[in-house]
Amino acid sequence: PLLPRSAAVLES
Amino acid sequence: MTYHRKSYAVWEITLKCNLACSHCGSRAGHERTKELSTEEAFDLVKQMAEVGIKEVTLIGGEAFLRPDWLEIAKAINEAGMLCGMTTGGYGISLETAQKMKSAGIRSVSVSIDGLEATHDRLRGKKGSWKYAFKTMSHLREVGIYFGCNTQLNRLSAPEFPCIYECIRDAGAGAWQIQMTVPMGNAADNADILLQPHELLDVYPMLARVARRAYQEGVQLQAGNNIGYYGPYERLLRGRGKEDEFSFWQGCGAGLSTLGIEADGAIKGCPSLPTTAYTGGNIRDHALHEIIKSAEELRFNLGAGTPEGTKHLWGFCKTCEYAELCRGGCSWTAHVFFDKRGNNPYCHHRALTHAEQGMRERVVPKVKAQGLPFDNGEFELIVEPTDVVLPANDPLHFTADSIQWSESWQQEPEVSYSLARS
Repeated sequence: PLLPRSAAVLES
Repeated sequence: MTYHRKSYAVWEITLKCNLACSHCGSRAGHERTKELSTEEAFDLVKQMAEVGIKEVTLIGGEAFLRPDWLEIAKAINEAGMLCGMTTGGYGISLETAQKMKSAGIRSVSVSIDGLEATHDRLRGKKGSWKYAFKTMSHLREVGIYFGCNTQLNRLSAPEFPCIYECIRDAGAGAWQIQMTVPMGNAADNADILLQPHELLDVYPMLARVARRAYQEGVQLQAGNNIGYYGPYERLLRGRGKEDEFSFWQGCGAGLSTLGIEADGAIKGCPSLPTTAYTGGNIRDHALHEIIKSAEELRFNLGAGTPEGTKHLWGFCKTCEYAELCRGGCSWTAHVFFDKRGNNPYCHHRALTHAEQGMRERVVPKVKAQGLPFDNGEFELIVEPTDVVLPANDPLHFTADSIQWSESWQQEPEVSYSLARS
């Protein structure tokens, strides 16, 4: 229940 | 969809150290005044397993200077977590290596910060380079998988191609590289730090070394402050696979990573400064409470919402990669500017400035106090490239500084980008 938890041009 | 991510903790079990590195972020040397007892350490092992930690890396100081370190390693192993170690390697005998194997230590990363003279200079101990390689031979003899880690700075960068050959020949399976940034002792030695505009010469060299390393079976691992989104991003971050999604995806502090200091302080990442990022102490609160509630471990939550980018400022605020990148490595930005959210140590950014005839450099402004994991503050200067750089800067890094041994003459420079192929 705790870890891990969750919190793109590269045409360049 | 298969789930592959692991959660891991990096645990400084003592601040005591037998080296005196001029770049040491924790200013290691003497042990902390109130390091966890053996009993408290065992309890923490139990709590780590309960919150979903799968892997623990023991660090110091020098981890093996703590008398009960192998008991702790054994407890980690018995709790079902993988146990690894990062060491300066100054003093691991064959007998110690055998005991490490028995305790269940699966992998070791040995710090190699240059060729012999540079390494011994940076680590403050003559003979430390030779002993680090002796340590690797002992690890190899007992069958413990090992790799190396290297600080990237103005002293080590010119030697990187030769360092690679040394660690490859020693049998290292992996090589993690990390930019030296001004925390702890490194904050007092700012002249050894690469300047942001020097990245323009650093990254083509790194790419050339990385490609050869992958071909020869050494997995180069770009640390969290290596990047971002430049022409070699996929090569450097893909660990040899150059997958189309091998690029930086934001700071992971507090998401899959924990940092634990020897006195029980809990942070979202082992590198982060103590004062600004400690979420609590294991002596005062249960680990699961700290993870769940401490704001200092929750600052990366909220990506994809306005909350996820509100800390950005300067160039990073306007960057086209902002929403995913979120300012690169939080530690790196914080130790330069005493707040995160703007990170000039970025290849894409250096290239963007260069295309506009500009460059960035940093100049010390406020000194660090002299405490473990502390930082000062730097001024960021953006100026035209035709402005003369400050005189009396003997460590200034350019492509001409790089030492390519004879064996590199056969290796072509890496001028391609997977993104453009």
